[in-house]
Amino acid sequence: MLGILSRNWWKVLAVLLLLYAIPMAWLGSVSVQVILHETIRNLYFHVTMWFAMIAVFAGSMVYSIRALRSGNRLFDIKAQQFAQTGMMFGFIGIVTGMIWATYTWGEPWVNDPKLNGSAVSLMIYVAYFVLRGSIDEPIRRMRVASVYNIFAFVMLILLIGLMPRLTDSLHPGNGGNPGFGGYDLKNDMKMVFYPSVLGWILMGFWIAGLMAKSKIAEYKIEEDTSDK
Amino acid sequence: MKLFPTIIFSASLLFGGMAVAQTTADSTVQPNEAVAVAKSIPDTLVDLNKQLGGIMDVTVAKGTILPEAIEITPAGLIILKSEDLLKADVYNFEVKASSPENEVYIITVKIRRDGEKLTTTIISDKIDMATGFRKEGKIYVVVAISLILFVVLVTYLVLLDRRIRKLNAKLENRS
Amino acid sequence: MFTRILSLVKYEAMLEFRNKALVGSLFVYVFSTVFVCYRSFQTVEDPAVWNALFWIVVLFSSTNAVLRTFQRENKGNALYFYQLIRPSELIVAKIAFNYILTLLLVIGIIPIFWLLLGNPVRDMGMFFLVSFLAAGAFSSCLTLVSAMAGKSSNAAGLTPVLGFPVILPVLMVAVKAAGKAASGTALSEYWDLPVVLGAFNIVIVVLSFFLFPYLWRD
Repeated sequence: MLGILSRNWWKVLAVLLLLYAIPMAWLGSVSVQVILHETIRNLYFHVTMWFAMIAVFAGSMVYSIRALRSGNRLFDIKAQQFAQTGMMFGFIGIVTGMIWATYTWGEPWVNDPKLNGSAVSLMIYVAYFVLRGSIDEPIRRMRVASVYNIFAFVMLILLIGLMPRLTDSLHPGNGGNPGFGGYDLKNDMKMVFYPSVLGWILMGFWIAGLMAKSKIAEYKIEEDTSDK
Repeated sequence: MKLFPTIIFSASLLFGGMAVAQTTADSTVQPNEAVAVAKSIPDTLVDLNKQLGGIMDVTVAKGTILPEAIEITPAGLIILKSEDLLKADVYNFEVKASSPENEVYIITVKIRRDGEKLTTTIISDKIDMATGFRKEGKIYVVVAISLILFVVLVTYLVLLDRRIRKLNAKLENRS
Repeated sequence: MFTRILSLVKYEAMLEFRNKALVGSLFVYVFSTVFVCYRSFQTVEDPAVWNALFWIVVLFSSTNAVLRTFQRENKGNALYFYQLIRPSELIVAKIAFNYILTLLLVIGIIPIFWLLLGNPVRDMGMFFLVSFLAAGAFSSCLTLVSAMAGKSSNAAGLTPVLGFPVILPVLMVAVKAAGKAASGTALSEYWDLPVVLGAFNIVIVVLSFFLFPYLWRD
């Protein structure tokens, strides 16, 4: 029992962090801003989803690198499942962003570099799955898909991180608007925000890990039945 | 099996979206006071406390540049520092103030000069937050529901984790 | 290393230009697209419209030019030849050659546009630099992507699918920067945009250098 706990402590940590952060998201005091009013609480959900997505995609890239270096197909399976989970988080991030935008910016989608960058980055990962689907031979698929995964993640970081800072943007922290520090992110808010980010990142890894393990189990069963 | 977490996520998403929508849908931004006070050029132009009643903690809103000639005390006095610093004819700036009930107001102050007279116009908007009746108990409904959804998700993950672990153990034993 | 890359570039050039028909097809493509614009618009006064048309032509021409990067050699020669060279040098050579090709394309497209559609561009030097940087980014990205797509069954279809999500933001930055150059705004106001384009180029080339050898194992 203790053995299981020592390997899964981070899952327990994730749950505890979020059990704290989710009620505090509603109950905690937030900085009062015009336009945003109470919706600033969405920070704890929308932004954390993006952080979780990036973390999970980073994990996917790491597995891709390991797949390339070792040639072990298990790493490739893990990379794919992590990418799938990352896309789910990205989708949630976009949808929460659209809901938030409808009430604060007036419409669900505006012509903003960060929004376009995020949509494009999800398109890049859709292309990753298209690529995987178009190659039948497993070893070659692993290699080509892993190369593309690394390429995709680097582009993701560039598109989401670099570009909006240089151009006009409605998002806070980019294009001349003050960042979250300038949004007078009070210490009260930071105390809920950081645990929430960490909690959702860990949850992302948990979900991705579960998906990876189930896929690997399927793969092993297939291998066994094909050998016998 | 994979459908379940997406259902949970979409449910919490919809719920969160609706909750957020509720808090903003009620807020209406309307000026509730516009006061013009004409004075010749002495020190205190306006006492915000007296005009708006019981506000405190007055600070300059972030992003507003206060003109040199004007000073604002936290108690709500807008003071003209000295005549010589009055360069322009119109001054616009924004001020944030909070009320004793923890409501936050954003006050736009416009000062216009006609010769020797200064006219000050104040427009104050309340930034509606979910204080008042929501905080009195209905917020706990929101908390409870979001926690329930989260606990359901976590339980599902734990069960799945256990199932996969058993499956893997069985696979190890076989080979 | 650089002499080897240089000789590889020359080899690419020889492969590409040996078949005059294919080279000609590229220029016919460019000319016909510009001609269609000309017939629809007569002259274009507004720099923004000129800019938009220019970028459409540049985007599709460079895509066209780069699509055949990995199909230039016939398979038999390729197998023997590639035993001898290092893959990282090969990809740098291919990208370098594609840069030259897109440079020639851009140099070719701009006068054709001048001729048929007038020239409302004010800051020509900056416009040219931005076009070259962006077209270079398109071609290098597409080169890497066509390397990956070439391993699959449907190379020609897959290359745009993989490449366009990456190219789209580059295109947006490029159109914005070129628009500002065309309307003559001062460089100090938008200097960060060409820098972004340059950064994209560098990142893609570096990535290609490290990643291509893994693709080459097959």
